Amino acid sequence: MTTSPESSGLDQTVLTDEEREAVYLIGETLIPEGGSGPSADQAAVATQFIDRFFELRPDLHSGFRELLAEADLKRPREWCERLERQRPADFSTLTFVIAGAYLLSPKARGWLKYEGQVGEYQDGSPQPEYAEGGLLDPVIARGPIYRATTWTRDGTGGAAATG
Amino acid sequence: MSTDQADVVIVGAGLAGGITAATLTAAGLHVVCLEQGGWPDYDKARADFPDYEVTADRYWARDPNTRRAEADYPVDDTDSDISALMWNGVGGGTVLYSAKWHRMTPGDFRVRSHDGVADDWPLSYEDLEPYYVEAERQLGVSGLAGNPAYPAGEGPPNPPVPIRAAGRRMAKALNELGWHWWPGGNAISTRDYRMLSPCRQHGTCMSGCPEGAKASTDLTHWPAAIDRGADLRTGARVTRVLVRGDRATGVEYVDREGRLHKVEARAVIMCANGIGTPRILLLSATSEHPDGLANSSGLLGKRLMMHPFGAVAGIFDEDLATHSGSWGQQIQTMHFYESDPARGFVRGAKWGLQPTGGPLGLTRSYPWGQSPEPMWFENFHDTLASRLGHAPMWSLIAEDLPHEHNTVTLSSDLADSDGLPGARLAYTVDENSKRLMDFHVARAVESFEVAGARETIVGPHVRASGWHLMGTAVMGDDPARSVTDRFGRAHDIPNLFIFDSSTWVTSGGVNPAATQAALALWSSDAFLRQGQLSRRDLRTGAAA
Repeated sequence: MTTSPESSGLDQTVLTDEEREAVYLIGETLIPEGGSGPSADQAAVATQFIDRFFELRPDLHSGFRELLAEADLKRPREWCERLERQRPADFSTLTFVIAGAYLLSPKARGWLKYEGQVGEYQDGSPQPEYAEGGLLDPVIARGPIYRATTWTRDGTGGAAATG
Repeated sequence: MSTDQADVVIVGAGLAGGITAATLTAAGLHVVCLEQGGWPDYDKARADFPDYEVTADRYWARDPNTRRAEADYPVDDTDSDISALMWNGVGGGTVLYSAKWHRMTPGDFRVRSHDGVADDWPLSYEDLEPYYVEAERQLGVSGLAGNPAYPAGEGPPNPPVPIRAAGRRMAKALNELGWHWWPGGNAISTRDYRMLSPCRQHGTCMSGCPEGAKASTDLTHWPAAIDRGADLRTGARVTRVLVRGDRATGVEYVDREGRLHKVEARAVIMCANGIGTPRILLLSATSEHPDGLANSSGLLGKRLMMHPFGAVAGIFDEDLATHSGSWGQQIQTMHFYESDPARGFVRGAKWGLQPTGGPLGLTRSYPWGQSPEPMWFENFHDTLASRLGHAPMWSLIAEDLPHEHNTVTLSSDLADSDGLPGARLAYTVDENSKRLMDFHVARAVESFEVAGARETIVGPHVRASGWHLMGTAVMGDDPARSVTDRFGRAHDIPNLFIFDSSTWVTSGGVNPAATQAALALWSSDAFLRQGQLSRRDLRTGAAA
């Protein structure tokens, strides 16, 4: 971990030092060093963003701690793979928390060049793809593709089918 | 117990309830609407914040069993291939829907005549066409007239959402294949339109639209209805519809403080969705109606349809900016929509091309869990970077045929916060749907390959996809084979009406909001016409 949990002064009500160490080990397993982007530790998952995550999602806190309590920290890779295979819903919770905390980190978002769900204004202006000579021309040229029905009014405000 | 009176009491303030209330109050009727939830809190729409993806599925969760808000009731889906999704609050499903907007085709109303399965509707596309036009006006729908998948006619009032790079890429591929496509229709405004603002393409339509561009009835219908005198009561959970003989006399409800109330009305209109409506009518059983109200046919709660849903994503080397865009759909295709006996199944599916959102979503289950490329461990960075912005997705809505063994009943062991039984689903995806989906998934993969995708990821039959809850109080002309008539009037109780998607005869293979909105207008219009002719009959309970 980039910061020693013993000296960090991190909030013990969010995670104990032991749990934080488990987050570090599991984070580095799921999102390790050596890839094109920062690892979980380099993105300060265990020391910073896990706390921010649980500020936002306290509803997932107890379930996540239960998973940490059962994790095999001597063989975290094998434990993660077994969890994915045997209990996919729990694996989904685990990875949602770790990846969620990771992606709150500006370092991780910077690596992805992800600035959030950035909107783009529009004003309803005509799009050239839909103008004559655009992409829709061959679709229009082929004509209707729906199956026609034949109806006769039955005089009651509804319709009676003849085909 | 407090008691008050109204001309009409509506149960549920969603799409059908909002449209119905707005229509009836405009005609001068005194309307009370009872909604078990509250107003959506758009302060929790976090599209503009870095925590959007982390928080999106907390307040805006789609599955009531996950959300567990006080307004929710449990839905036991243990025996269902698809889990039911809904929003119990003002606006109903429109608060969370993706707002893809499609009319059903003329042939969708004639499935028995054309394909020898299911039943024909007792009304036609031509009957609904003016109501489609009006619904599109009321909801500020965007799109383009002239789609050859439909008869010629008036189109939506707003221009289509931007095609964007992904839509352009796939449109060219479909042109190369000679397949139909068309600009996406969406209940998302592309310019300032009445109460709606132009969409800013955040791609967060299903987790709280932050700028009021997506049409939901809490924005489009309820403010006007309330201005005209509609009495919308939130936190009001209907416990039963009250009857005397074959006449509904009103409803009983409990408020959030646990106090019981009664509203007497000349007519009761159910708009509580394809699960909530049969649940309440089953809860309303009496000695005279031992199997639930309006159930002499035995079909109440049967024929549940939920639209099997598949997703196929393509991953491209080029950045196609697929993290954002109206969601919604940029383009759509109905090339394989109509039946072709050579395919080994009947009916079809519509595809909508949509963005795939931010990076956290790309690590989740569907369709990404089906990828041969591992997500985690040493693959994490490469896999995630290859998807973000590079991955458009087809969402496939498959027609779901009605079967009486697909049911909504009362749960014997789950209850809501007021002690009322929850709903229990029994639902299986049938063989026709499986063959249909397999075919469509293969064609969708083909389209991505022609477009140059280097990888396709297929998520067939997504379980958490039961947005569309239809068919559990089917309409028809024969009281022995249907629950309501073509206008939503219960055969057994002539001043009890069902205006929600419970009455659907078949599901079509498109997103249902357009047809449900049109049906609410059609039914409300008939209600007013018949009411004007026979207000005395309504009072005495005789059939109008």
